[in-house]
Amino acid sequence: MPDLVARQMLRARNGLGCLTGANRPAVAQTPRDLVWKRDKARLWRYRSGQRRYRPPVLIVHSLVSKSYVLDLLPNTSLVRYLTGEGFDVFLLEWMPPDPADAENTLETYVDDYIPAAIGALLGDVGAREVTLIGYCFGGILTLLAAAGHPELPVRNLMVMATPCDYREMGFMSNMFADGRLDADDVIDRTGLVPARALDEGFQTLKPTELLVQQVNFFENLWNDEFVEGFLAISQWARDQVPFPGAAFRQTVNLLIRQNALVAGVIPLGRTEVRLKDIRCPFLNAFAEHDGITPAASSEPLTRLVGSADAGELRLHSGHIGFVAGRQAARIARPQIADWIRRHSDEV
Amino acid sequence: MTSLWRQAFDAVERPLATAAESWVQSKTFMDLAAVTIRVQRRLRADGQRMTEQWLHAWGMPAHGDLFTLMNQVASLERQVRDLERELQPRNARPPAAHLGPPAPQPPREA
Repeated sequence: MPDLVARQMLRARNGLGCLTGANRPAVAQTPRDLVWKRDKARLWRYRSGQRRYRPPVLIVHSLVSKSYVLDLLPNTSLVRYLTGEGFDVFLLEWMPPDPADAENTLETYVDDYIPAAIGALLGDVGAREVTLIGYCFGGILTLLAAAGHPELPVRNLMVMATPCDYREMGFMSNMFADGRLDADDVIDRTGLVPARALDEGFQTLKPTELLVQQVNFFENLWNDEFVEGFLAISQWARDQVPFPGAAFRQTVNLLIRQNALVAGVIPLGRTEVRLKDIRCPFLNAFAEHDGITPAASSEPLTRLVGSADAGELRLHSGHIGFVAGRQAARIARPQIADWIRRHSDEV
Repeated sequence: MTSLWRQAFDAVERPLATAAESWVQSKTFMDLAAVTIRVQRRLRADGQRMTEQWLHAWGMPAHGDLFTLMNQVASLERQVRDLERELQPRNARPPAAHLGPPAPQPPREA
């Protein structure tokens, strides 16, 4: 650690950099190519010169945040790590919705975008199967797609920080669960849940968090590495996206009020989706100190799927412990890669 | 080694955070928050309606008209999407590409 005077000088330099915007971190730097798009859905393939494993890996991102958290900074990027480990990595992300997407339902993602993206992926690489990974709410989408479409060639399924038991989701869920609020109380005139509403909801969960973060930031302002990581994570955490109103109504009615995921049977479209129909190898990864998706909410998934090979990866970190921080580097990323490797073929 | 000012901050913040987090999860807070959100929404809607009526009385466009237009355009866009899907041949898949080092490709419209 530099001495006191040197630290003050570094603090001044970094503080000035933050005030002028010169320290703005460059996120999502891993090179990638767009291979398919439909409406606001985008399928990206990350470039790699060393693809050693099959099937390709498709990560499905959440509907409530931006996907660059999976490729935050070069040294903390999950997709860069997986690519470096020899996997053929694809990302299915959702551009921020506008009023044209307000009527998107869960079925739009589960029955349309995800199967179509898998089809495009298979066509692009000539593969017959795919390892599917869902992050946060993207985990719910992948579960519903895999369970509701047994014809999809999903060889392995992994979900990360994915909610299941909404009784354990705390404040944001409880506001709707007991009828205090209806979905339409937070949907605006464009038919979307504004990003601001989600941001305020997340901030309410830990009222002093913002202050603590600012204090941590000031304390470590001399540390270039900390500053870069902090700014990148802060930028992502406040960079929420609107949520399609129709999908939000379903989330409130099906997932929160009926707690249908825990029941294992989710009425979707004209049919019922049964989590027991998921029979491929399954990994449920969650974090013990996750304030957004508490571990108690994710835990039941492992026993709800019908896979004979169903396991869990429990991290001692928070919601982004899979993608950033020491836990991600030491435990999460290596274990995720190891699980995929054990369930893949070498080419 | 943790500095003295940081120790002092933590000594105050930790019990405060614990109390605040349990207060947020309490029924009283949630009831209050729900009432606040509903009242805010109601007041905003009433305010917007009155402003719109006033502006319309003077023959001027209001913010709500913009939303109406946006939603009409959105509805048209949804219809175009539906038509695109109907025009797609069933089970159509993009052509298979050879394996190998990836090269930049133009996006394929679904």
